[in-house]
Amino acid sequence: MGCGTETDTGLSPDDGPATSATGDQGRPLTVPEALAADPGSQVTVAGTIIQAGGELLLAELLAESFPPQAGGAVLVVVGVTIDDFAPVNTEGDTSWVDASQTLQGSIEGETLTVADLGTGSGSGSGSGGSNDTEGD
Amino acid sequence: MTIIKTRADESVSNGDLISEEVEETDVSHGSDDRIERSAGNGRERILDESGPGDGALTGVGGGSGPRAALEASIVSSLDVDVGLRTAAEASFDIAPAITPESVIDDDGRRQIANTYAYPWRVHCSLRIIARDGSAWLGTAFFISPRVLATAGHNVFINGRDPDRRGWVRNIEVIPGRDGNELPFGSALSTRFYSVRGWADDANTEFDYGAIVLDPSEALGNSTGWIGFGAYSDATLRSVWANLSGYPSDRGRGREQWYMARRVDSVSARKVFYDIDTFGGQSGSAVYRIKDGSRYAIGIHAYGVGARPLNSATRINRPAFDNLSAWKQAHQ
Repeated sequence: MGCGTETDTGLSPDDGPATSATGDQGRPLTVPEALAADPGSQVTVAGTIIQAGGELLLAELLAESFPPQAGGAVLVVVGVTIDDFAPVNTEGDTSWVDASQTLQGSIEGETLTVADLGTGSGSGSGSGGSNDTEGD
Repeated sequence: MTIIKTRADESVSNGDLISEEVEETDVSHGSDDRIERSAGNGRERILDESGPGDGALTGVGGGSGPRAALEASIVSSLDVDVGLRTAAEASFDIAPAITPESVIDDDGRRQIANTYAYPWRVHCSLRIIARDGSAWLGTAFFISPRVLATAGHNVFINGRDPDRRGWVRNIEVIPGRDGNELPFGSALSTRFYSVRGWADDANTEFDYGAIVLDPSEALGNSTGWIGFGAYSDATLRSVWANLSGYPSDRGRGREQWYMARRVDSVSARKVFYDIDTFGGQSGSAVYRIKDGSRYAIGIHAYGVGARPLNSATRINRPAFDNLSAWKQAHQ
């Protein structure tokens, strides 16, 4: 585990991932912290959802050109689509969500597989995650 | 904090590389810090702010043009132009229901109506054509008659798309744009600079670059420019940061919007603040006003991430040296 807090869930290996990770004091991991998490572990990670060229990413930062660009470390997000979030902005072939998003899923390399869409939602959000209102 | 120049700080360009470094041309020792504010009396007025002002490490003065080598010492008499409309007179178009990703709490930006006046005319709307032909918006600011500082991701796109990644194809530079009014026309550039830390490594701590205009289109001679400086952590933590740029959520990148706040915090290569920004404002000058002169302390690049602050690439000593070298190479 590179960062954050590792938790023994009491599950056997056959039950799936045996660890989960959040940041200090339960805060979501940053994208760089999630990238350093043990492969297969469950993580809660916050970042900015942006899709460019058909690939859905959770980015550490949002570079403020227009349309914006993914900045810093990125996770490729699978298991959800951009349409699972709201409201979505689109310009050219880039789509993004304004508010920072917190996702839960399993991490494998640079891929975050989101299995559970029912983690709650923020203001007007769809089901893809919860708005991190600190970023608003 | 001493920043050692590394390979990531090395300059790269889509044209000829330059290697010479330029000795600083001015050393400023601050005794106070100032914020740009509007007075509502038809003139721009500079108000003093208290602050320890422990002194700049380095600083290069700006100029309001059209002179080519204007130094900071005479700028103060030029940037108080009689008859200027001020930000206080500008229109306000704040939509309270909108809480975009980088607008922190209520939107505090104000539209600049007199973009033809100094200092607003040094800030430029950018229309960027990427390598794959896609169109982008950004902001840049003059640091000399022919050279504009901007975000690295405005000149070199680091996406995952191989057709897009690389130096952009061209950038149309539009100084002081106000809607459909282009008071200084525009210039098309195909000559750019950044550093290896950005172009090779996509490291957000090195996200800055420059745009070079052709000698025949040295629009900075008409607009003037602002200075830039590398300051200590203590100084940066005590100053007001001014930011003016072209956000896409206000006038689709064709209107200039301004806001100022105290610097929240700094790291070795970034400056953090709660100035509201939006896509299109990347490349905006984040500047202080000292003794009536404007000095960029950073180049705006990022909206809020895990922490609820927007950020600029800090003009530290290596960045200062690169900006100075780029400016010197294209006089």
